[in-house]
Amino acid sequence: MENPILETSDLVVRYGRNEALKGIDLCFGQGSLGLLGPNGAGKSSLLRVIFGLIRPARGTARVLGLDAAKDGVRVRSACGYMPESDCHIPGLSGLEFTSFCGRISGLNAADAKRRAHEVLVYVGLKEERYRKVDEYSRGMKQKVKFAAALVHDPAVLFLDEPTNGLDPQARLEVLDLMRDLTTNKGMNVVLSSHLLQDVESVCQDVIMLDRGRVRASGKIDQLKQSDGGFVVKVHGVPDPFVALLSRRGFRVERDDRGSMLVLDGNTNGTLNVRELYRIGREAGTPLRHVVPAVETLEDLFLRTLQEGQEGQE
Amino acid sequence: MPIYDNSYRRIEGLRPPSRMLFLPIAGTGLRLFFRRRLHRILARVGLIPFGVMLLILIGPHVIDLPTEEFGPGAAAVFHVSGAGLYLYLSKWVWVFLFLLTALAGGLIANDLRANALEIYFSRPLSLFDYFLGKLLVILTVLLGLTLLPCLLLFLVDLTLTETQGFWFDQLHLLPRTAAACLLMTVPYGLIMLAISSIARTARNAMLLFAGLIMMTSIISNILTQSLEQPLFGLISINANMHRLMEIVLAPNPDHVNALSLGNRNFPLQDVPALYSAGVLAAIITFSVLLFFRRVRGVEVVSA
Repeated sequence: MENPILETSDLVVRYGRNEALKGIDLCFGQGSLGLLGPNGAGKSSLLRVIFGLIRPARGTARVLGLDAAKDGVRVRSACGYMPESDCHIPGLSGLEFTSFCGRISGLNAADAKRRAHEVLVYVGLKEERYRKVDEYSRGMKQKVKFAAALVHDPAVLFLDEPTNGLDPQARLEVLDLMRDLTTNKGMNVVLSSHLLQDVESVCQDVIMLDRGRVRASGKIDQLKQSDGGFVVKVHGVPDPFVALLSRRGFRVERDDRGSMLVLDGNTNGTLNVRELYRIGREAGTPLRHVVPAVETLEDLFLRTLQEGQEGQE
Repeated sequence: MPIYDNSYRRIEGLRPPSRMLFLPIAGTGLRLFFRRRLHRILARVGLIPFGVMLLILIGPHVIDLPTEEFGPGAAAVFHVSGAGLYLYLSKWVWVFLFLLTALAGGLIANDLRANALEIYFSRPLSLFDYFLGKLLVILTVLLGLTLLPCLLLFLVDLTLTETQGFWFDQLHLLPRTAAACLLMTVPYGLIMLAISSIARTARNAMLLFAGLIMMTSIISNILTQSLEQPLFGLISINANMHRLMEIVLAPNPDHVNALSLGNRNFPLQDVPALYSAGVLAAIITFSVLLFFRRVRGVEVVSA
């Protein structure tokens, strides 16, 4: 891969005896990357290594071609980081806080103030930017952290659980901002989250971590497997159609929302759209929705974790 | 009319490399410090001794007072002198220095409580920038009460005195005054930074600092007087600071006697000043080490 944004090689992080990252190798180009994993998978540790907040026991992490351990200052200058924890500087207003973050990222006072106004309005803190951060709601604190990570216009934005604790409306707003940054503003975003929907709605690439190891990585669309089945919805009562499918040897899984998953069963690959419509005609049941069944990110995630656990056993 | 995108804009052009990043930390720290009314009031009240000194300097010139008639001590206060500055720094201003330092307890403690270190150290800052920025906050406040008034007193005295050669006679006092002011402020600043880094709240830090300074003085006085052993005076942080200040300012013995500065119950009078310097150096080193141990930009996690 040419000019990777993020690259790690045999990265090991230890907290005492506990290994948080067990020699991970990964490489990510341009765009938006989701770091997925259950709690304790090592996502935050990876981000902290990248920002030089913890020192790895072994291996290297490179961001924009710079060694995170040796060129920490340059890496931090080129990247933005939104921490997971609730953190701010007591006593400062949203504007002062964001402007201060710009200053300690290397902007001069005038530029930092102008940028702070811009990014705070961008994230939706308009009049609220003049209030003290101590008085903000959880959602507003997340937004001001987001603005502080953006204020110096980083080349890569690292977000650690940015939608944690947000109400649905605020969560959608933050997701919209992330999508806008990646699709319209050309910013590279690395999103660490255990919320699969968030990652799926923002990122094209994903790295799945579990217990300090990379379980899967690549384009989300390519990782999702098609299991050869179809999701079918019918007009009217589906029972005759289901009965006929079962007699022909197909496996049918119905859900309570009226759709069913039709799988090949023991028919040796004879399942296709034409066959489904023929069976529907024979059963006297018109079909209104037939689409190939594709794994969701949740299925992919669970399958990957399960495979990882089986591999360890 | 074209509609411009007023949302997020990328920065175009080159950004100069970041340097002197401790300055925004110091600036913001000072702004936050003086945002509290109590701090502002105390800083202003702390300038009252300066006002008094100024009146003493200017007064005789305005009302044409024959200062020679007041005896040998008059020269110590009607002109800037080692003894006068010692009186000003160690007696008049000391209480305000102590209180203002105690009020700076939140400098690190507030950052620790609000998890702000992650904000600082995910930026192109070094731990030294952070340390320097925070130290500058305390030093600016304390030097504003000590060095700045002393320099102004110098300036006023030099302007008002018409005696030939007075400038040259007094010039040696300038570096001595700067050193004495730093002797008073740097140990306090570093001790407070260390205490603030181990306390979780500003109030705890304030109490710890006040407790440390007062308890070391009390214990030192009790032991010195009960056992009649002046070496116990080394326990007191203040006594060590005052001893070194006395050496640095080198007040005229006549002036010291006239101002009753020599009659005080000073425990370290018979102890070599080098001992005090050693104790103070040890306290400073310990404070700095404690700070760098407690405040970590990089968490070392490898076994």
